[in-house]
Amino acid sequence: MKKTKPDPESLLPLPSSVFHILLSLSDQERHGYGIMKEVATRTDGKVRLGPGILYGKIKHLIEGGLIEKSDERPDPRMDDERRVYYRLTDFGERVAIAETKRFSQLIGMARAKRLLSRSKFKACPR
Amino acid sequence: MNPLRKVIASSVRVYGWLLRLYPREFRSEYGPEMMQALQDRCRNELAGASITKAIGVWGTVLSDLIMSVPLEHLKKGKIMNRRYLTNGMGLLIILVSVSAALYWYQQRSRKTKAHVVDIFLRPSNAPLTPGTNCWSGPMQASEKAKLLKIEGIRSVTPVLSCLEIKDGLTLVLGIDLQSYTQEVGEFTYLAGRQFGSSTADEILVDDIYASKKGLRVGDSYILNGSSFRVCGVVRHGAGARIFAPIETLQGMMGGKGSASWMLIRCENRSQIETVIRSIQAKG
Repeated sequence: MKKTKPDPESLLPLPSSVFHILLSLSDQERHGYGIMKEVATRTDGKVRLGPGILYGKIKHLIEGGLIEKSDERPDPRMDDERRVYYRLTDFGERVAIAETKRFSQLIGMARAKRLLSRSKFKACPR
Repeated sequence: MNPLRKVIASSVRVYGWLLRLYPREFRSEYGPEMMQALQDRCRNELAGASITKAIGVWGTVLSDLIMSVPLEHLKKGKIMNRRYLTNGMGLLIILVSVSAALYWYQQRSRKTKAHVVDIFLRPSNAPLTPGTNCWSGPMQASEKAKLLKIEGIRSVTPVLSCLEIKDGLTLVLGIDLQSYTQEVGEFTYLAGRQFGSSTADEILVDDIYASKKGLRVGDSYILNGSSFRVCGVVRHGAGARIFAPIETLQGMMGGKGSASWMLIRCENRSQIETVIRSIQAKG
């Protein structure tokens, strides 16, 4: 019997590292180090995934049907049989979109309350 | 074998051994990929770097192991097994101790070794101190290519300097961030980030200056009549109070391609005297 995928909303909120992995795979397929590098670059080095944490999450995401292994080698210059590329599944994309919408709603609420324009976030007076 | 390759090969070998800490199924499924990821990271991050940087990479690898090994065992449900628990705790204590020692060594190295260059090159007719409220650039940054041809020189970074008079004297350096930090030492970012790749109107300030002037990330700052945005605050001791992209300062002073000093790192510290003589011989 075919296993039905849960509602993407039911998986939210995603752990930060999981969302970063899904985001890094949203534009192209990447191998493990590619994901680590993309996440570190996009976050200015604030989020650094080590191999242990990364592959633990990858295993979890594959089991949940959010990502899958790809047989293609998008970067032939860096090709190596030990490099496995990963890509988002349709379900993973729906989950990433749902999480992005959730963040977007939160930011909308914060903007409505003018949180970022409050004086304590402005430059200190000289 | 090149020393860096040795470090990478040894790192991958040791990591392969440490992977035994993970559950067998996880290790057999992802072990080769994890080793490949570490090898890629070492190749990418250690190119031209020092042993201290390699120790930094290992610090993060060990902290990753400390966090992920128990997690993977918990997922397998084996952590409750007494033997696993005892062995796991023993290994964790060892890993925590090694990580702490590496962290301490890295911090100590940063304090004692960072922000030091082998040779500080300035033209003989240049003033000892930078110009005040004017940019002093008596050299051409293109000299870098000529210097790199001299045997024994590993890297060169041009610097454009200025002393700005605004409530006291403030040293401002125009730098090529990547080569400057490679040579002089990584900046420690206390807030914000490095210069953006497309924005030329950003500056970094050190924590002492930021505190003195009440500057925060996002504030604007007038430098030599031009408005800049503070994109990051770095720990003091990096060489100046304010850093800006060298191309921006060259543009402001109308001296395209100019530099005040060249900071030189030799392949080996024992070659410093030889390199100095070679530079002097070339005039």
